[in-house]
Amino acid sequence: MTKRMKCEKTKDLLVDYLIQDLDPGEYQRVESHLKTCKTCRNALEEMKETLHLLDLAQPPLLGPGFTKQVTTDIEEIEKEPIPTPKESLWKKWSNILPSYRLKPLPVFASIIIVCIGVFIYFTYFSPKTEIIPKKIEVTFFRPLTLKTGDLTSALSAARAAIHLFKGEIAAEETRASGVRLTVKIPVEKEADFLETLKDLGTLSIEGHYKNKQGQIVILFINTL
Amino acid sequence: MSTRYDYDEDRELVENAQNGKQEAFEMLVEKYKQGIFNKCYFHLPGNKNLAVEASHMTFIKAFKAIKKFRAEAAFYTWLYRIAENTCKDIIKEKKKKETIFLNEGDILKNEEDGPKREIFIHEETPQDNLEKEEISETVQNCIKNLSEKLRSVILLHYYEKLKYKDIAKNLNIPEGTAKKRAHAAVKNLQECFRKKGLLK
Repeated sequence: MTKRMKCEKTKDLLVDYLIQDLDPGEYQRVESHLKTCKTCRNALEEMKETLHLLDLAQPPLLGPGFTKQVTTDIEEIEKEPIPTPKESLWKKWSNILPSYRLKPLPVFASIIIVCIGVFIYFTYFSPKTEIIPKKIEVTFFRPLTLKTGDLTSALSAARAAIHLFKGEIAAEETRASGVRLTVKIPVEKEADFLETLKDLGTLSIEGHYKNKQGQIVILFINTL
Repeated sequence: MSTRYDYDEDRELVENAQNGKQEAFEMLVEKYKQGIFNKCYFHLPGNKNLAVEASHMTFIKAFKAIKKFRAEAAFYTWLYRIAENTCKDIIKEKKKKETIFLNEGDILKNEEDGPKREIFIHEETPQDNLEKEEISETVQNCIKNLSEKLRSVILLHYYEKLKYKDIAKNLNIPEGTAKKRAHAAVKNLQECFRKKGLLK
């Protein structure tokens, strides 16, 4: 170890040397080094001054009054009632129903079982109810009315037209108001057939003129 | 005065205190009051009464929280941390008050504005000498300006006369670290003393 290193090491140990916190080996080494090193002896003097300054700032000693005061205050704390912890919402509800002292786990299990039951009931056992559409379309059946001054001629012209458009008469009824014809006409010929009927008198169309079977119903009314 | 900080004895006392034996806690107070006061004294220089108050608060807080202490570190380490926080809180509070006083245009009271607990302090050598008091104050400020790590070691080593192995146990650090910190603290203090003209 060089002299400089020895000095550094010794300076580090000077406080411990002065307050005697060195093991015997270290103490011996510091002492023998100090005998031969003036720099370290100066450092030792400076360290003595440093410790003297620290002595001047020595905090005052606390007397037994301090412990007594702490003890008195602790006794006061001990006397204080222990604050009851804030009750949880769950406990509040449990207290409302004291005879059914609620316990979280069984209650949650019961809720789940009830939910499963309700689901099974509605899925498999509940009576099927009709689905009601939001909009109901109602169509009213209104036969075509053909008003004419010459019923016989109009009827024969109509029969000819039905034949022409490859249709057929499904029914023919004579009523007080006139003659009712139920006619079956191919769909692609319907428009032309109606145009022909217009030539036979005053044709009025007031809605759905076909019956459930899709046949055209025409009421021939004699105006005379 | 030398205080022996016995790690094993502490465990027993703490256990008894946790089990509600008040006298065990009193023994802990008696044992550590000076160490905690010294810590607060250098944390709050120039105000002995405030340091007493901080020490008092530290022990009350410790009593209230003793059941939470898990004995993973030494009792003194735990107590020391409580004192550290208490002193910091007091400084914060003091600053707030000073701001209020300033706002109100009041006269600041820098000294001795803490609660009066002077009866607890034994003034063995009343320092009437103004020069001595000034020197003492400068030294206190130099100690205060040390980092917390260095200050805690120097207080235990120099004022509490604890051996390095005991400092290590109580601060939860290796013995070598305790030594290094003590040496660094002394060097820093000497520099500070030189700057203040206390050392040549």
